[in-house]
Amino acid sequence: MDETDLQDEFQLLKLESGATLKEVERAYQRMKALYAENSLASYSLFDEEERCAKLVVIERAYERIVQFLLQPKRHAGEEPAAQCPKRETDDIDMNLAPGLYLCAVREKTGRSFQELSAQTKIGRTHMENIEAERFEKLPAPVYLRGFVLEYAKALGIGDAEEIARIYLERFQQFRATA
Amino acid sequence: MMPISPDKILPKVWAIGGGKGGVGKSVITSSLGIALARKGKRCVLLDADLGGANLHTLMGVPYPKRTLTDFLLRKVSSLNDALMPTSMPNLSLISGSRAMLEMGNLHNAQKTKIIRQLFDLDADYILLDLGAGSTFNSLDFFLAAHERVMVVVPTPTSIENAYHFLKAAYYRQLKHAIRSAGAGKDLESYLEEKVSLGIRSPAQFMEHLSERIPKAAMAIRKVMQDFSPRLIVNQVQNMEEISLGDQMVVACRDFFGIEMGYLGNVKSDECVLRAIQMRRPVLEAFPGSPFVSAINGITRRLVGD
Ligand SMILES: Nc1ncnc2c1ncn2[C@@H]1O[C@H](COP(=O)(O)OP(=O)(O)O)[C@@H](O)[C@H]1O
Ligand SMILES: [Mg+2]
Repeated sequence: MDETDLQDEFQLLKLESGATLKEVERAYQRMKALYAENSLASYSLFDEEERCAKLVVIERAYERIVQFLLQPKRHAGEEPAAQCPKRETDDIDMNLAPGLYLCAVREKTGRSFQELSAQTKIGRTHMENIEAERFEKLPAPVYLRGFVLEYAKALGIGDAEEIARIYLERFQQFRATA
Repeated sequence: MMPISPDKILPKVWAIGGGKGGVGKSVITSSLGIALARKGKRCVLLDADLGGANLHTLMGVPYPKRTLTDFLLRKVSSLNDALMPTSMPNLSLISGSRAMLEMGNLHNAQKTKIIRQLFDLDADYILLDLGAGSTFNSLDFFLAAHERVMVVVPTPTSIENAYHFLKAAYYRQLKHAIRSAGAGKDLESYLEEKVSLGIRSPAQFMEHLSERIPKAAMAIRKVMQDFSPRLIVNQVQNMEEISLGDQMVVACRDFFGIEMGYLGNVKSDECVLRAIQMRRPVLEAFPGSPFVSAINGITRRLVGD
């Protein structure tokens, strides 16, 4: 995949070409806030149906861009190395995008959902939803906290408590605005 | 009318509207005028809110001797003769006070006459303070201006009214654009049928036109690009409200397919009310207030320096 394949997605999130993961994350949050229910800036221009449709498109664009940015970079002519360098966790801010951070760590460790699911007893769908921050599909906070904590531990993240806290905070924020 | 000499510089006209009453249009208009006058620009404020004129009070001219009414009743022959000086150098006022009830809605001919003579006034800037609502009066003054400024406050009613105003202005301009593109009746009927075609936003409508009649659509798109309104978010109180302006810009891009220029926000500032109670312009009474620094920033952005 090339950035030119994602022109629509970049445009949709109002992103400049060459945007970093952090910028993508911020733009995504901005767009989600703009089309959230009761958003002052959009509710009287778009009806419920259009608003939800926008959110779906935004979500899809975001996922595609992130996928693109996180794909291991391959230089022209170079064989894909067996041990290709994985995505950089360094340029993802855990505070801004805890889900994305988890995703990056998982890919870095090269572990599969299957394996992680066997270890943590958390279903794959839950793990995917946690990574993608699909808050509306996530379980109640008491369970969610446990899930994120277990998952972060399984990934070998040092401060699992901290990321669980950040994650829950974001989740509550979403609840408050939804 | 006097022939315009080739080196005469036409005044720049700014209209300040936005649909809802009480959001701060008049306070902002008068403040922008004072800021311009202080920069040495000759500036005329025209109170186009004939139903609720109050610029004269904000400018400290409680009983204007001449008003727009005199011009409309032909007591004075030109708009120029309806000008009143204010206490400030470079700044004069055409007051809307004592307008009779039926003048709230000007006849087309009267409106055209005012608009035509506006551009003949001997000034660098003319600022129009528009009334509330999306009346043809307000819309036509808004569209006649070079800079079309909308003032909103962070409340649902204000935003709703502002979008309603913007839609009305957009479609009025679009009608003109369609006519001048020579696309004629067909297109106007497109416009009327847009609901049955399932077209919801102007952006979709333009896409639809581009497919059906690419050539005319291009000309229309070009005219509509000049529509470009500007936005001021007034009376903001917290961080969340500060982001409203940027969000509205994106929402308008998605809905209208047009770029709205964000001029900035103005914080809710008690100095404004205090100055009004003192019957003095905020810029004079509280030059160091947050309101005044916001106004100065917006003036700079509008002047373009
Ligand atoms: N930035 C501000 N901070 C505090 N009060 C404001 C501000 N802007 C406007 N106001 C208040 O709002 C009132 C209405 O303003 P006005 O300019 O008359 O509104 P409009 O012309 O849109 O009807 C003013 O009397 C003033 O007290
Ligand atoms: Mg007013």
